[in-house]
Amino acid sequence: MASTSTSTLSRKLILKSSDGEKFEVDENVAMQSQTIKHMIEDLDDINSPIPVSIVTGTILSKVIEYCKKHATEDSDSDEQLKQWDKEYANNMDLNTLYYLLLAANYMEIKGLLELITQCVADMIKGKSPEEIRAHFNIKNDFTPQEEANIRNENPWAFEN
Amino acid sequence: MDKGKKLGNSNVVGKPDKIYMDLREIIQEHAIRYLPAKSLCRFKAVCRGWKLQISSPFFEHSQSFAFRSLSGFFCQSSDGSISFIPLDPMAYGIPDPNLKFLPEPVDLLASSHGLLCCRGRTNEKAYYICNPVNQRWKKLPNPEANHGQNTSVVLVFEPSLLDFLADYKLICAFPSTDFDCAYEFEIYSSLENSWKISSEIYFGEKGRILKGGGFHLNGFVYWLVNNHVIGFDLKKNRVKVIPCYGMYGTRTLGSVDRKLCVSHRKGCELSIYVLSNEYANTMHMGSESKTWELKKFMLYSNADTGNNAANDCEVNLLSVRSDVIVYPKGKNFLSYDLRTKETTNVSTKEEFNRNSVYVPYVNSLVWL
Repeated sequence: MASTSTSTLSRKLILKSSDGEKFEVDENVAMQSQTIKHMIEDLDDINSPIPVSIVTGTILSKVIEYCKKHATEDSDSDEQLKQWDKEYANNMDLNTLYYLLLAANYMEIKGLLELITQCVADMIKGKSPEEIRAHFNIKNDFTPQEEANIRNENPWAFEN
Repeated sequence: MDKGKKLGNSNVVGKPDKIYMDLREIIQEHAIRYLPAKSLCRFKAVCRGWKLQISSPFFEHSQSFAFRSLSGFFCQSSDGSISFIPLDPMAYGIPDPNLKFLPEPVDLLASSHGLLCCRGRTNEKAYYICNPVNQRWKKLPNPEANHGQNTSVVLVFEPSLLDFLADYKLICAFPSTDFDCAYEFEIYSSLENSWKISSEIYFGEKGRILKGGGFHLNGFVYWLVNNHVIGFDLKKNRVKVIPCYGMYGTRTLGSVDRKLCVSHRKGCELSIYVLSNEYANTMHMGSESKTWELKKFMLYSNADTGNNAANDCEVNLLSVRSDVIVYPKGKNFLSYDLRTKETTNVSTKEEFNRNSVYVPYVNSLVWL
């Protein structure tokens, strides 16, 4: 069960992406994901690949890159880790970022989810409500009058 | 391709609701609390779902916990007028920069995680705490001591997930009336809604507290005096003194990587002294340990400066926090990212004036 202490450190797991790509990772790297942690607890045979069903290989490799970095806490200072996080997130294009967000949410990796959500917030903070709707494909469900009221209540928030 | 299916025990299936939760919901559930107050007030117009969420008291609370980025500066000119300089005008802002919602004209003193501390300009000299976004404010009871005109005030508010109502402290270092050059400390606590004079006295042996504001970090409130930094321990009510020799020019307190730092700028050269071992002077002779660790940055290349280099060499940095510093150059404001080494011009109508007071501010929805 969960309390197989020392031997678990060196155990290897195989993660399998939705498009069939396999990744061998240390157990403590994979355990950053709460979802995988729960899966392992239920598994009898950890030698079989663990399916990460909604995440593609390209994205999974990026997720593993993050987990590897954060699994070895001692080697870097807080500052270096933050710097690494920033560079990691800055190197992603928007699409990759969104797929990573889906993956981090599904795999329940708290740190990665926070990193990406902050990054997304930073990118959308200057946008207009119309741009937000278009960007995330959100339907405007206000009546014109309701929408006008919101603008009149907070005119300062719509001005440059 | 089918090999994985061999493993298909039913108990390996995760949580279906999570799997199918799409991007929109993740954004709404996790990302928008990292947005500043101005963006959020605007995004109430996105759809009903966003409006409902942004308006809920619990969201205001979690936003004030999650969003901590420097958003801009309140600026008070020598004639008393107050304005706001946002680092990004579409993202950060407040409805009324003049703070006309307060019952009287005020002087700006300090700010902490979205709360602003001001002092009335009338005879009573009352202290006010407010959130300029939702315009909620509170007049503090009168302190026991006479703080006079030269009080150095630091507002300490650490957002906590557990406290729904902002829990803050106001630390005032005021010149003692009993001892020359000495300072006494009086502290207001919002939990007790009362002031308490500390028994600790700083006798000013290392010099007077310099203007330009104190700084709170990890339970200590710090002020610059001549060649030292004094730190007031909020738990033990004690003052400690840390020497900082060899740092010349106009200095600014700040923090880098949760460590106290003293910074100054000379033209394009930025020096950040990070406190690494405050007990270094008590260690054995020949010890390699240093109290301050110097980090140097070039803010811009010398070629850019032209003839103005001399003009702005002795000017305060406006803010040195986490990874971004903000400084004036000529009449402009520039922000510099310590990690990416990128400089951004802050676009604003306001011009830098060395006689104005600048208070760094975070655009938070915190409930007061």
